[in-house]
Amino acid sequence: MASKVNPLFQDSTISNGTNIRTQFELKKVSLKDDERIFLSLIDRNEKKYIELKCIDIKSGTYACSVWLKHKQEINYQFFIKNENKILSASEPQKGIAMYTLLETWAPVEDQSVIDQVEQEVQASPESAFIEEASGTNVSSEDIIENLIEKWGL
Amino acid sequence: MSIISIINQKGGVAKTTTAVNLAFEWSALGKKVLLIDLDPQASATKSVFGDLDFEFTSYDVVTHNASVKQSIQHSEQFGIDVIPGEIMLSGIDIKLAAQFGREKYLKRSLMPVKSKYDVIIIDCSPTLGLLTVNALIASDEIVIPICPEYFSLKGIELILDTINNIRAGLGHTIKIKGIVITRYKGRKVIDSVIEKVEQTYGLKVFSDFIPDNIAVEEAHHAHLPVRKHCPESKAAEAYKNLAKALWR
Repeated sequence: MASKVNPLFQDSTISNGTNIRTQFELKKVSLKDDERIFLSLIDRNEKKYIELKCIDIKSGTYACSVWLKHKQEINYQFFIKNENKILSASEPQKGIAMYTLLETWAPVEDQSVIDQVEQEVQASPESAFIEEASGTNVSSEDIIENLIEKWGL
Repeated sequence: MSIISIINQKGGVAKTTTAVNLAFEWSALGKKVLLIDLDPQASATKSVFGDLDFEFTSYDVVTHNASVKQSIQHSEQFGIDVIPGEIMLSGIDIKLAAQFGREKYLKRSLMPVKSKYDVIIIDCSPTLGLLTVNALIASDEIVIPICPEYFSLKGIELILDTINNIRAGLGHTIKIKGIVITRYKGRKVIDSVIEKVEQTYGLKVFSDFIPDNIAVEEAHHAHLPVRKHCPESKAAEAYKNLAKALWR
């Protein structure tokens, strides 16, 4: 079940479905030299894989960002792989696309989950591995200012 | 230039005392300071001005009934500018609920005066609502006063949750400048508190503890900063040192 969103923390300046850049942040990640960590994301029935990069060594925080539709329901999962195979994976979970999704790395014990990810990655075309989103968030002050200017709010 | 909110969703932690005395100490360091009272109880306003009433307050600023410039009052005693608070602030959630950009009203209002100050301090309401969200969206940083005698990790967790929710849902990142220990009575509880805060949450705890001192209460009633009311008191010394430490 997707998590609830407190209306107090909903951006009133954008409507549902507006493109936003969502940052995924995963804490407490520890990788060996040959390992990489990926976000697996189902976005409008399309599977995407995005590599997370280290943004804070001390807390082991890795992050990536991707353009999504605001408040759209998403399915995602994290996994660690080396050159040859998937080494570990988190539970698949549902969420709602917002500006930031904060998670803590929690690999599952269940080997079948890891095998499932392995099969999906092998069956996916090379194009499923996408680069991190570039550009700026649409919720920036600039957009607000533009709207104020446009509508005289 | 920085906008700093003094916040704790638990009451009785000397939040207002910390806000007004930091404002004074930074002013004494030669900084240009604006203090915004965003608490419906208007304790900061009463602490600085006594029972004076004002035509325009932070309510008018947040709701865009008046400009910031119209609402600013100057305090000679504190050497700071103040936007007073009032009880009308308690109705702000209803007033703004259906407004476009409701969470950024204060931020937009402050834009014309930001460059005129070295620091803007916001004394936040202890309740979580649109008023507090407006304060946090307008802020670059927060300072969290806690009282170790009544300390609970839950209080800090509530603030961290709010900060994370604002980042997730509203796309605004706020830096936590650190924790200020207030109403300090002795070392009995404090070491374990500091250890928990630093280890569990990775937050900085400032080493200048504000003592539980009668001078603080007296200064509030005299509408003076502690250092002017009782310059030799430990509280005066603590706020002076804390202000220096926070400014670094």
